[in-house]
Amino acid sequence: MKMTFDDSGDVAVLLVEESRIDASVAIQFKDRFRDLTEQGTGNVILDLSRVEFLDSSGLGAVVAARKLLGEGRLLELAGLTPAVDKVMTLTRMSTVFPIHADVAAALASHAVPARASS
Amino acid sequence: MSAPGIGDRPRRVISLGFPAEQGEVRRALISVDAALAAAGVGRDLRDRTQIALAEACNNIVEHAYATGPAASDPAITLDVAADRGGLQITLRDRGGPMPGGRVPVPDLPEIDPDDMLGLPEGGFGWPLLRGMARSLSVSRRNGQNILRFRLPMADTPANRGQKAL
Repeated sequence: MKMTFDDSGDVAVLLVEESRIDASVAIQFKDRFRDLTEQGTGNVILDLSRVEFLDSSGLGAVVAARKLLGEGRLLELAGLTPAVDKVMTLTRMSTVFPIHADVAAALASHAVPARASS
Repeated sequence: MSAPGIGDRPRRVISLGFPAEQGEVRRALISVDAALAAAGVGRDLRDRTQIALAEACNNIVEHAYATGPAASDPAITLDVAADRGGLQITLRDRGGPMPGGRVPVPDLPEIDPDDMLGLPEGGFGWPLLRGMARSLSVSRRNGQNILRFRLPMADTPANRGQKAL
């Protein structure tokens, strides 16, 4: 489960570098998410722009990831592809997660200046 | 949105047999998507196919074969046929029978926006499959479960919301 975590700003960005979050990797996703985020204290933007498919087990792992952050931190979703958007909408999870078109929009919503691509 | 080679009569797009394991389900779904793309099926129907098949196959892996791997090989067979109206999906397995011999009709799990730490992590599989599939049916013959459903070419409101048996 390849993920890239960037916590250089006030809001951390976690990019999922996998095309599918499904039953075969749901536990890995949750474990990796915990490893990457447990040191931080701020919100996390989950960049799903490379994820083309999410099944109900993958959705459960995203929900579990949200819970790992606890009460004080938010998990925001960004870059939903059509199939992922469909699953989020049908399960009504889209009504409880903050969802942004992409990471830039998510960061802008926190008034964090876009990072230089150094 | 009719694709080349897809006519009035159902024509097989792909048939697969695979073991009842989550990694094998993933591989099978990727093969189905490639076959549908090659047949000219558009992204929206392919996405709905992936969602429906993932839930149907994972249900077989997790429940029908809950007691362990199948003695038969392949444990799951999957057939996809296409016609102008959409796709006809047939899944067969030799696992345990569906409880009550019918397709479950669960409601979506409750979601409380004020209780993020109490959000449900499961229970979405059947509602998702039901949200995609039309004419969903299960039968059991000679120790074999047969799950059939259709995926309409266009997911229009007129096609939506029909609760199948």
